[in-house]
Amino acid sequence: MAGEAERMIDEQIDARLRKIMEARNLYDSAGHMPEQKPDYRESSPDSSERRLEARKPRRQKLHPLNQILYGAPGTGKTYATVEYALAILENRAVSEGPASYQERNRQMEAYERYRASGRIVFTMFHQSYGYEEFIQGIRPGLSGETVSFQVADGIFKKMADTARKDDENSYVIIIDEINRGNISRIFGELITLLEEDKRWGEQNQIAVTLPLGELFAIPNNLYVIGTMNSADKSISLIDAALRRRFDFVELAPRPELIEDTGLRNVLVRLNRYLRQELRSTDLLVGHSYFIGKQEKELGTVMNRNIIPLLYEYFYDEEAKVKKALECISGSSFEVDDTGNRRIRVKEKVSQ
Amino acid sequence: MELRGWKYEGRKISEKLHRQILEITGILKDTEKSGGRSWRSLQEYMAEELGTKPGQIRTIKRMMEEFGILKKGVLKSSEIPDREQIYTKDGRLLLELLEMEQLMSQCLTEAHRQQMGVLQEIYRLCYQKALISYTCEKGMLHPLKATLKALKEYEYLDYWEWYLLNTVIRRDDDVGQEEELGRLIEEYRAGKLSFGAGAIVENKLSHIYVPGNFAYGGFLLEEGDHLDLRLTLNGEYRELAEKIINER
Repeated sequence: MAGEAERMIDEQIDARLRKIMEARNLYDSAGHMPEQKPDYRESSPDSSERRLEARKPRRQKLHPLNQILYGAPGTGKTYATVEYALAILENRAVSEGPASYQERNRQMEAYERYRASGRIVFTMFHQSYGYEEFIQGIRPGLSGETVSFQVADGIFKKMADTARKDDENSYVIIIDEINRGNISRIFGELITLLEEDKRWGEQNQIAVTLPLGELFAIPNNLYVIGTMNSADKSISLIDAALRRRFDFVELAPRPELIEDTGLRNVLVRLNRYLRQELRSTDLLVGHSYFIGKQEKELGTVMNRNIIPLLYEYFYDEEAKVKKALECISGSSFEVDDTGNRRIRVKEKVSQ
Repeated sequence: MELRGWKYEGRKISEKLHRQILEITGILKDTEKSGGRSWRSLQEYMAEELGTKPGQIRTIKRMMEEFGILKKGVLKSSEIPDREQIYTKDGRLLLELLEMEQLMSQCLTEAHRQQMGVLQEIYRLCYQKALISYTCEKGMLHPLKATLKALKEYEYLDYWEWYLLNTVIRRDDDVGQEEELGRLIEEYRAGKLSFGAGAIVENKLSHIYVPGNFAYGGFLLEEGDHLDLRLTLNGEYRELAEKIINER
């Protein structure tokens, strides 16, 4: 009995979630949201005057349409997007195992081919990223010698329009650091269109009229993969509106991928301590800092990558950083807390 | 005539239940606390932490399944719960909101107070959804729909009429059962039918738990208790009630 009554309630939940979402982003939503709200309409392809091409319901359901890969720094989130995107486009399960050098090369070649043909787009959200860049905006352009303003489609709209006209293939947009952008500002009211059942071609498909007058819908063959650093923001604190529209895939540190036994042990000990001290799986250290490295490079990795992270995790509390660095005991390195600078590690002096 | 109540879980939706759900999910999320423990062992640990009995934890777990927070049957006695797999999508949303509310309550600004008010509205809507989907009689009956239909038809239900409804209506939209209910209510209201102590032989607290939850969801109004119970439709949600009644 999941009919009109539940839809009515869902709409009310959505309206309230948006209210909270906007309230939580007050400082930067002001003046950035499109002033004119899109005109939502549930429409069948035949009933709309300016109609969009009809699409069939999605057959390939191996992968969710919207997913976010999240994990601590260095857990290979951006690296993994390549395999996730290829798995979607090739309609196969994601391979969880480590890729050999040759396999990775093959993956990257395939990825590059898809990227060149426009079926994969990679973008990164940052704090000043907005609706105008992502969906549609007015931008200045030169017309002869005079400057004129033209409507320009953003990266997401371009891809959605291309995908909607293609009945055969799937498309993937990868949004790195999705939590660094202001979701309500970037997607505006279109966030509702991301939902699986509201995608163009699905049962509850929705098209909207964009603020600049064009009819728009997100097709059911456009997959969104986001990445999110859980040390930046715990996933329990991200916008509820985003949270409920995406599947979340946790990428945990995988010390077993580190070949050097000494380095592997350092990471295992370090994460054991962090987990115990910070009581969170968000504030760990990933394996990628140590991949392809040998123990003699431990000093460089610790000083350049890990120690700055530890200072951040422990809010500059040096005693705790020092305690965390006990993870290097047993290696040929030791803690150096001399001088007026941050703690470092240095190679032990042989007697 | 013997009367039988609809099956219910022995808990009502309440602020206390909210808090207990939050505490249970908090323990399930915390791998330091829950990692490596089977559900059976976790129940005992949770009961200790919450100051209650393992049986209560099982009831809350069943409520969480009924409300669509937990996937049904995922917490098995001998297995270690996989925290990534046990929640439904709606469940995750609800838990996010509960967590958000907890964080807001730790820093009570005016903006947070307002947002917490909106969260309360969302909880009610989530519970409304859960109550619409709630079934008994092996999925053959949606008690909310049956109750709203009866309240629309007979304007109100008292204690004995509630049990007449529960006894007779066992399937959605069964014309024969609805006619039978009509006949019995007419006789009862005409004084030709009466009940005494011992008439209710099964699920004797159904009049507390089932309409209590419907009232919490805003669908109906409860006045009086036990023999003085009187249930009526809540006019505020009449449009929604109509939609539920008319759904097939």
